[in-house]
Amino acid sequence: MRIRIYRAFSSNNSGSYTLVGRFRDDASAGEVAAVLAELCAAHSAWYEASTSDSLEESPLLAFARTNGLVNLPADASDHWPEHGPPPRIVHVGPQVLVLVPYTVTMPQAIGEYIYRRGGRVELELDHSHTPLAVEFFFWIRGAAYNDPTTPDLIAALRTLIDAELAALIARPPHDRRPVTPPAWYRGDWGATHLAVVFADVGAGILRIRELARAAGIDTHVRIFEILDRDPDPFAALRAERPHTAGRHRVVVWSAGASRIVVMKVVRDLVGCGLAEARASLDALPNEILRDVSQAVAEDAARKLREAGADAEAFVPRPSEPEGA
Amino acid sequence: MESEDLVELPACLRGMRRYALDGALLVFDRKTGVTAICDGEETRQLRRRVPRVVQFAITNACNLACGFCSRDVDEPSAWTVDSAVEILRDLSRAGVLEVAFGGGEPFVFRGFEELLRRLRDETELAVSITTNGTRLDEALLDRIDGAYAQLRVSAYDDNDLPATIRRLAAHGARFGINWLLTPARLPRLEDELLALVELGCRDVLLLAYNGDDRSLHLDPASWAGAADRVARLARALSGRIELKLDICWGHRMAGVPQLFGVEACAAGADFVVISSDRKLRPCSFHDVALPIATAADVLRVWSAERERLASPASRPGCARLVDYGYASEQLARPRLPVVRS
Repeated sequence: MRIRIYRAFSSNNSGSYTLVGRFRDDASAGEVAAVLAELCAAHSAWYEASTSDSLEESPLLAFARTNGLVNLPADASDHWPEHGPPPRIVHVGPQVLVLVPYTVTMPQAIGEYIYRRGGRVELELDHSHTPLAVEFFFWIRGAAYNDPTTPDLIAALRTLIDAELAALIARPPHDRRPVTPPAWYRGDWGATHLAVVFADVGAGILRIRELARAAGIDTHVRIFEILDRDPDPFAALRAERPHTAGRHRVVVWSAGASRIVVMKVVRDLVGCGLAEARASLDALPNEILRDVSQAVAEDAARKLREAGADAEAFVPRPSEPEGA
Repeated sequence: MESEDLVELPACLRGMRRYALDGALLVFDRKTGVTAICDGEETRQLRRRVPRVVQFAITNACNLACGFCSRDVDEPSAWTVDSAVEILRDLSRAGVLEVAFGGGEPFVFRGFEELLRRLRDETELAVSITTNGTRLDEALLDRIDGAYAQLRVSAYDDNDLPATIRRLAAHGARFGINWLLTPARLPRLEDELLALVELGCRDVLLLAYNGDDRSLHLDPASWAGAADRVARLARALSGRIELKLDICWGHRMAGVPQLFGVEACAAGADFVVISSDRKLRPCSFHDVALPIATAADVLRVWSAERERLASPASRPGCARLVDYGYASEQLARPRLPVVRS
């Protein structure tokens, strides 16, 4: 007898599931990532093949018992993705990411296992409906925060990443929503950051990690939900911010002959987009950095002069009124 | 014991309700909607004894006034909670699997929540509700939790659908969206469906228009292109959303992969409509309306009037009409705008 099975009612609604675990070192994270990847593959295969009257213990339940986990997984279809590939496990430095694009939720046992192995769950986004943004932090292991070689290495990495970003954020042909423009910017401590909404979160993170690793640069990620329907959710991140607290300022008196080269230097120094950099050169003279340290100001002025601009670092006289 | 009860089934299907089709057996779980169609030597002798689904237009009253709606919203319903429970309980006992409430707006029917709870407790019916969603607040969703199988919310331009979907998704409700595909909406098809997915909707039923308003019918020249776009969307969104086609599309969406291929309209046989004036119709758009009062009347009319119930509706758009009635005089006639007072 032929039997064809389908579901007549609407499906339950699904969202994405994201968990980020952090460990003390890369090796520990790598070990846990390998274990979780094997578990997810085995449990998904079992889930696809099992029937409602199956008496066989699931790989996930067996795993939970073996590892002494208290939160035994519920016997509910809501707790595992029903369609598509298994949950994706991504290892990024000391972090382990669990990424599921469509599910109702995921078992607590995964988070509990991360704690059991000495790590901590630094993020769990359960049932998200809006797009996920990934923020990368780039730094060079062992280098001082003001190491003079760091900016050039980061700039080289940025060139490599920029060459691939368009492909990584492009939506598939059926998805006609506009792409979210990525944002390069400086963090509170002057480190270079990148925020991106990837078409495929897992694939995007792996590719950026690969490029950074090849360039000898470390990275870790922070993931957050963005508001849907916001055409530029990263606008605030691009806003100018001081690099380091200080009293020095940098003024550009004229852009010189190589306006585009200067524009790119301004973009890197300020951490803004090219449009903002162009605008800042349209109203010269203009202070492009304020309240930065002497070292940062002098370095910025030097780079601007090397690009052909007439620029200088200075400290306002104490008696000079603000804005004069 | 009926002959469908004698068919041997795998253990995982044995606890589900059985329904005899012509030459096959359908088993059904009212809570999840899981359905299995079994056919072979063991089922060859089976014959359909009752309609599988009763669509129940329990009231014509509505708290919206949509221009395309043809119902007389001032006509009072001939049903009460008690009389509705009685006829549906008897139909359930006879073997009907599902009741799908519509209207009008079912949530404006007095005592509708009580009706849902009684159907859950007193019948084996699965309950679907088609609604404009305007009354689905948190409190109502809490009160009817567990008393329905699925909610289907009609997508209009003025019923704040995004807010309703967010509320349903947050509540964990099982719901789908009914989306009428018109010439005005066709250019926004992908954008609108992706927006629904982003809001948390996982089920969309694409409806075809039935009626005399020429502006709401897709032009025949656009059918193939529309089908191609729906097919691409279905492929791209597979696993994320269940995209369904109303039976009225007929072969107009033949290019879209369908679970069992393009099936003939089963109005009047697989499903029937009970209207608020106590009439039995093949579908909501049909002019054939036969008086009924009890479940026995429903089954008698369903059995005796097969030919009339299998006839085409007169409204353009019916898949049983030649060329879907697009050449009809009704559709060719210029239509003046409707003004509701």
